[in-house]
Amino acid sequence: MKEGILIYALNNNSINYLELAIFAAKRVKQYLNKPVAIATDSPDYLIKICPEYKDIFDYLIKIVVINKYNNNNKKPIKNSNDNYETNIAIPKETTENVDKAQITQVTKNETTLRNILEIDYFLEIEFEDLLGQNRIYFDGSVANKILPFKNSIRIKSYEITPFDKTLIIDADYIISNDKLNHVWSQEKDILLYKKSVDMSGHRYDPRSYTISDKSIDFYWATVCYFEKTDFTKIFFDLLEHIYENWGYYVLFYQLESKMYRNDFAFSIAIHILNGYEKNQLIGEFSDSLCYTLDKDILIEINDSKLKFLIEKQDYYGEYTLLKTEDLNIHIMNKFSIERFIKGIA
Amino acid sequence: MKRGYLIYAVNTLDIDYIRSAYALALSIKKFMPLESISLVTNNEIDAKYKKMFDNIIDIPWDNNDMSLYKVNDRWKLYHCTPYDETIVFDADMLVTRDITFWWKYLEKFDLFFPSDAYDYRGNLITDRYYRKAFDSNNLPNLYSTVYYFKKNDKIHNFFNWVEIINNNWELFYGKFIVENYPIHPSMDINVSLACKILDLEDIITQKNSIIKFVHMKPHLQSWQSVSENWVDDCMVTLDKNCNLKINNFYQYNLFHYVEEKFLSNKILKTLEIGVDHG
Repeated sequence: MKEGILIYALNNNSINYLELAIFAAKRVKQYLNKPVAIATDSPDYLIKICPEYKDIFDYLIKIVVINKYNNNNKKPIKNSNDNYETNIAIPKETTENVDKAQITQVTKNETTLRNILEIDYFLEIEFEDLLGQNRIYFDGSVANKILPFKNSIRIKSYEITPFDKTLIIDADYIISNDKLNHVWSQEKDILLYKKSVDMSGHRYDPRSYTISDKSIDFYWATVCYFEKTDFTKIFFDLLEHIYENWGYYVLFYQLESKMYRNDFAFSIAIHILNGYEKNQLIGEFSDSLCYTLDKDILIEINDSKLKFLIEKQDYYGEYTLLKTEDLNIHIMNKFSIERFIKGIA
Repeated sequence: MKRGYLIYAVNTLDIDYIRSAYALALSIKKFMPLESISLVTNNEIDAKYKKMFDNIIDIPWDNNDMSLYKVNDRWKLYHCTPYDETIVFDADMLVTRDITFWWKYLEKFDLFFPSDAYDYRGNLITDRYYRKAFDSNNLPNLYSTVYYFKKNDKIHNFFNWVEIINNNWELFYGKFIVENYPIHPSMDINVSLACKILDLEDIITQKNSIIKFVHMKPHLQSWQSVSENWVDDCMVTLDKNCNLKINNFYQYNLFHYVEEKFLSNKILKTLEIGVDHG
């Protein structure tokens, strides 16, 4: 059975997900010692920024994103809770031109790309982006940017993965121990996190318990293990159906925002597969997913020791120092990870 | 041994509990067509409703109960049941599947009250919003929404105590329920108090029993925003096979809907069609 980790990296015009994925992959090698596959829309850029990519990635999947949405139709959506999730339209040239530029460049190179990469496994897959979303990315509690949010490709993971047993992790999920290696020998076809811990200790987001106040349980798609089985195929087919009919599911599950989130889609698929009741067909990691929000700032990584500035409660723009050790953490402030990687943290 | 379901229903000024009892009887017939159902009431019953009940029993020793929640006559159910083994249901409930396996489980008890309730998402209810009097006065956490009894001297004695407490509720509540003293008498409190006085908690209830019911009082649903009437905020679907979904959750436990608004004409019609089609 081939076992390995799959990481997605679809860049937008401000966050270099490839850098994050390279960093995350290095830590996978260090702590889990497993093969890593990267799925990206910018493989040529990978070569450029990471000449040693063959030491880090064992498999490469090229994603060709086909935009099926009309950016002009998008209007700002008011969110009653906060402005964390939004569909605020950004200038057309900023998004579409970047996507087109990347795709064109890749297309030009595609006949020779496999040879250039000299990598054992190369798969090209087209993905129709139906939603074309933007969201607000915070960098600490004060600064923020509105950027394209390209996360829906994850629903294609069954098709994309080169492994029989796959552990998908977000590019901003920083591994600092080998605990996730237990997934390979457990019996569930699919595992996700349900329990989570906000490292601030003072924030409470009800949406990390249920996807909306009166709706179903929330599961994190940040870390997802699956084995290729008929059951798992149904799960991913269902995810695709949910994605294609997202507007319907937003209403049907009383979501507060129209923004597509993998977490929500995965939660809905789990609920449906569980027979519309509490059930345990889908496995749950026994521990909790630890996370810091993008309103917090990563300031240092020293092997398995991480340091953060955590947004203070009731003191806008002020922070508390937090240290962690041997803890896997979903670090939502991607800008701060990038700064650390570039040595400017 | 004769066994059956007993429903107590008396209309109030606002709520047609006879209609609710009819809907409950439909749901019992849908999933358990051979089971016997009796209605205890002092209201006039439509001919259409009568057909669903094996027995319609007048409330004995009628005292024209004027209490808000029609509590005063509930202790009489033990005395008027036509069965040797009885499961009592509140009228504002629906059966959502075949529960005949309950009888086997209840065989080992002479009297059983559930001490757990669940929300529509299948979570065990831990909120104590409506149970402050129980907690502050160390009462057993019993629910009388659904309960079971056999006819025998021990249980007769228990219901004699319930009668005494009910008829002198202000005296008993004043003595035993000093904190969070209830404004109205409550059957839940009456049976819990009788249970406490007779020290029966270990033998008339069990945690995590299979006698499960969903309690739809809004403060028990773990909501951030609690609505006055849950029906306004939740999607209700009852399919042609009478499978009930609340906000995309199938309901497999006894469903205590509480709000009369839930029982729309559409729901009632679906239940009628469901029974007609078997």
